[in-house]
Amino acid sequence: MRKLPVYLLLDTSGSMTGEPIEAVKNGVQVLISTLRQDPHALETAYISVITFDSSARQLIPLTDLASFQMQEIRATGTTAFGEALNLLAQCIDREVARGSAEMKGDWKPLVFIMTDGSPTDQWQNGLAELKKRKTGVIVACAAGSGADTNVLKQITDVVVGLDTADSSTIKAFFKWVSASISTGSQKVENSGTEVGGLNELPPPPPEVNIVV
Amino acid sequence: MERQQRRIYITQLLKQRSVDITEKQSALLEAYIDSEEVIEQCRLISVTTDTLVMNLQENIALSNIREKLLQLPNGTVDKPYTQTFSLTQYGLEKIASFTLQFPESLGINYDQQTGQISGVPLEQGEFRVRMFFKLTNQSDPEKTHEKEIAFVVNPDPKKLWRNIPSSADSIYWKPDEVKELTTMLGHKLAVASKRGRSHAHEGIFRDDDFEYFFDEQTGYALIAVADGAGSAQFSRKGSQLACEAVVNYFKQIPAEEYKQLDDVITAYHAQKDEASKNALNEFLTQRFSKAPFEAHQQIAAFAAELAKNSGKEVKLKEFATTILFVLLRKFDFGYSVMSFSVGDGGMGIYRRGEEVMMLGTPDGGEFAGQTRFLTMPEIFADTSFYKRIGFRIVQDFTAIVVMSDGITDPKFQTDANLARIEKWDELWDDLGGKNNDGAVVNFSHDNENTAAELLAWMDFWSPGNHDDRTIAILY
Repeated sequence: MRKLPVYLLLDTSGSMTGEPIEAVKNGVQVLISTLRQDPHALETAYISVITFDSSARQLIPLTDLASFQMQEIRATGTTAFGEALNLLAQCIDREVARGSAEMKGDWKPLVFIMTDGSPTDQWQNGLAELKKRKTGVIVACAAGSGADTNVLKQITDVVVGLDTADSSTIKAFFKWVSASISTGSQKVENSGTEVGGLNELPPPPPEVNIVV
Repeated sequence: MERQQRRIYITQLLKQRSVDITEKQSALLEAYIDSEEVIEQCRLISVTTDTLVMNLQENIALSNIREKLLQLPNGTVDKPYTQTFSLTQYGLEKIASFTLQFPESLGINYDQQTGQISGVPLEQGEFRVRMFFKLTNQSDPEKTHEKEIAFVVNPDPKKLWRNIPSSADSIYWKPDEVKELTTMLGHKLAVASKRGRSHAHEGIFRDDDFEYFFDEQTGYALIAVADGAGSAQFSRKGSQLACEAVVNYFKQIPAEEYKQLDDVITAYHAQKDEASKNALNEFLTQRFSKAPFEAHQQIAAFAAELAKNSGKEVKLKEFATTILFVLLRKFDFGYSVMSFSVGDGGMGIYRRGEEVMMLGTPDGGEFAGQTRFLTMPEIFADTSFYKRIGFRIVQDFTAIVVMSDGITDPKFQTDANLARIEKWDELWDDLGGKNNDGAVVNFSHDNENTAAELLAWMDFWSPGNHDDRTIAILY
């Protein structure tokens, strides 16, 4: 079966402490429970969570929605964003199947990045690694005014911003992510093609601004 | 406390309180620690500190347990669920005894004796399981603590799919499912085409199509299957046009030319000489490139016409479709099979338990969903174009099968498997009833329901494979 891989890259640096980190945790829960009600997503979408603070780690390997279980996350440390991009590249190599005569390839991974700050490492190296991989749409979300949208703009064309990193705004973002994954899994099953860009994603809610 | 312990305790206590003891006083102290009063006081202190430490440890253990995010592996509605629940697996070694209480109507129970959680979840949702437990060496042996464990029951994906009929008023509408049974070449042809679940869920159209003909006079038969690209707006029309165009093209070839082709194939079969080989190649390269090109042109003309009439731009790729077809003829020495393919899906000449000859190679990509379409002009310019054309002579067959990727993806998984006889045997057994749905297709020539049975069989369940399904079987 062809998976639709979805990677969530979540900033868990110290600045996310308190309401933001709780909101992210709840956001992922809402995302998962919503997607479980969508037959396309339930059968095709596989989710992985990569968190980054002073270092990056794959908190949850690529897992089908039916078995997915969210883990504890805590906010601490700095923002090793480049390391997270680099790790994402490695995870894609390991977890996303490329097609051959012996195997049907997976769909190109969808990537959702959420950060509230600026990278504290050499993020360009990580980006260079990621660019060598084939991905589907990458959506980068700048949560609150402290996030560096210039950096995000260099990673993807699809950059959205949240004015504040409070729980209702973050929740709105994750609801939109969930709708986007639904659209993506529907698209691959109905038409055999992937989501190409922002114009093919559902319109973002008022809390989520498109950064141009 | 032993004497020595009392001595150390009191000395340290005095030091802590900065009470200096002189040489002379120390004898007094030695006598003092043996007094009954001190012995009793020390005993009380010892009991109190023990309780204090124990309570503290108990609170730490409890708080560690309470902080833990405990989740049971997820279940699925109506699917038997069994898990062994062990304390070590969750890092709960401090717990001495426990029981688990599941929501009453959920259908899941915990067996204290065996440590097994089992049952069949009746309801989907996110549930809380209550764990009642006691700690090892807890201060109050009667006290029971409580902790919640998360338990997710997934919905049954089969029940989430809706089946909304497509709107018959829509432009280029076609029925959501079709089945046909006919006779050709002394065989039967059963064809079934059915809209995929993902389309049914949205109430959109079947994009697959098929067409066939058999000319008694010339003895030639053609079977075509096309799969319209789901991403293209009018692909349901594209697949239909492609099949019709190919069928019409071969219908229009003069009987005279077919007669000559008979001679060429017969000569080729008998001698494999240069002259007949060249003549055969001539026919294949001419007719088998013109037919798909003709289909391409007709779709392009149709798109142009639509653009003209609507005054809007209509791209050819809105009609994107694949096409697979075989031209068949029966001879006294066997069957000639000529084939052409653009895109995915699969065709094969199958002899049960013996051999499968694949016709054409599916166009796949590095990632899923990358294929080639008849509507792409570049395929005709491509140097590998002639690889799309195939020719075989076979003595006999169990079945000649042409199918869209809605069938090959779930049943063969990979392109390499399409060439494996074991996978074809599996498919044949599956059609014959070796499946979980109790679907049986009876391929006896006097069965009039073969196509209907085939259509029913096509309802098979395969997670993530809900594309339109079309299969044509000549048997």
